[in-house]
Amino acid sequence: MSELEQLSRRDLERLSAYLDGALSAREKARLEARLRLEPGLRRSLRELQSTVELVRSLPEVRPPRSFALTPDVVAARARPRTYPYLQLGTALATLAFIFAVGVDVLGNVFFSPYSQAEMPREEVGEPAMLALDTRSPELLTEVAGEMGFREALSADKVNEGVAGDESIGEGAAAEVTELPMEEATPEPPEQPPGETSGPAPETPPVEPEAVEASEEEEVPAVAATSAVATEAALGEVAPNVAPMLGTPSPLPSEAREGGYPYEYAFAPPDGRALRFRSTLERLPWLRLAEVGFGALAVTLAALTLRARRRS
Amino acid sequence: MIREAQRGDLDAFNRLVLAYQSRMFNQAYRVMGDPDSAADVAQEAFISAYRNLRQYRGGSFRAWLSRIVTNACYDELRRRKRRPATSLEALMAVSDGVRMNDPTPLPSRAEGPESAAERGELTQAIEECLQALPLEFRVVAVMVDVQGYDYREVAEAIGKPLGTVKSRLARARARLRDCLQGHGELLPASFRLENEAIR
Repeated sequence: MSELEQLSRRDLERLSAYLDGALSAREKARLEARLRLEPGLRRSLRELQSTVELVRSLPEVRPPRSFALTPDVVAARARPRTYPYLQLGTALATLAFIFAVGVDVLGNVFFSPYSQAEMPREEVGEPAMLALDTRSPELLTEVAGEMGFREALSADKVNEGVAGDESIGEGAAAEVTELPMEEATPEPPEQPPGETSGPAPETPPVEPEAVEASEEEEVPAVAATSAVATEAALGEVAPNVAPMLGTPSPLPSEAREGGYPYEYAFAPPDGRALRFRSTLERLPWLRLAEVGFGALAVTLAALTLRARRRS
Repeated sequence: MIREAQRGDLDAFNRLVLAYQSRMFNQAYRVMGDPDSAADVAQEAFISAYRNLRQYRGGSFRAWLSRIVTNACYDELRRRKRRPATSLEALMAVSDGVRMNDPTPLPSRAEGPESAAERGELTQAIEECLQALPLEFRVVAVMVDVQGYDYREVAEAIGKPLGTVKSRLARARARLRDCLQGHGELLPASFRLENEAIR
């Protein structure tokens, strides 16, 4: 068995570097002290040395021809003039794609209802003054947290005046009323999820304490819309919550994909209804830009690679 | 001369080629194992060097060239894996019993025919053991032990840290030792005496 096989990897590296003069002065002194004391280490060093000498004895061979370049070879193997532009175009398209995706993602992160739900209460308006603008087709369908839920639930009670109006969600006009929160709220009757009743019974606004208790209960729809529209809009998004909110209208399909379309209504003290829109709503061309830049980057990269391989 | 070549002077570049082509060809030959592939690799490397000469920013020019040759070797070996027919032809040429197209060694000191024959067998044994090494070990062993680069140049050529170069070289030498012990009858007396002393 070779002595080298018994060496640790560290000792092997030290001996190998020692042969090439690649050890520091300190490491060299230590190793030489050990070599004086350890005969096995000395044999290993001799084995390595003889191996290196053998390999170094390999003769240099003559090249079969000259490798000097001719103008023809250089011209034939030159990269096309468009190559640097293709490289630059690929880089720019990739950066633009990353930027578009970043805007999309960050926009949804910073302007999502989740972040809004944590805003101070005063920024989202007093619950007592909550109003829901049912004239807009893109209506609230879900709430992010308890605060938003309460507000939305309050909004339900506000909309009781438009119960039975099937055109809600279709942009029909509806009255917006504001109800004070002081009114007591009776326990709402149970209703299976996903179903909406016809004209909903009158129910006064729910007090904040009652909201917690009723959160898991089914609240009948306050405003009637077409049951089909309601279920289609809410079935996947919030099967438990939707009935409690009443009659939200379906959101645009592309806005609902990927869990984007969170928006809820709140009213500042002056009574105006405001709502948050997703990044895609604010920048409708963003998705097109993402796809466009992504496709452009891939195409240019393929052309660049092709030009490189041909040269 | 390098600066002239960087300005696009082809004659200046060809003077560089003549100065370094033997070294680069030998590096490619010891890594690839056959002269035809080595010639292709060397030619590709010089074309690539001419095209990218402006990226050379000083330091060891031979290390810079070696890096291009090393990368060209890797590329060629990867291409061979994808198209094994190419390497099979090379193998068939070798397996005919006589190694066709063996490059001519540069003339050294005069020696007798028996010595030359023994030398040839020993060289072949060392080359076989080199070829048996994993590629990353082989590249380092060729550059340091065959061509005499220092560790820093090798690190620059392969784009790895010094520690990696040391480690790979040590392990390559240990494996070469193990492999060469199998050709004991060809080895010089000093090599065999070491083995006997160990046993």
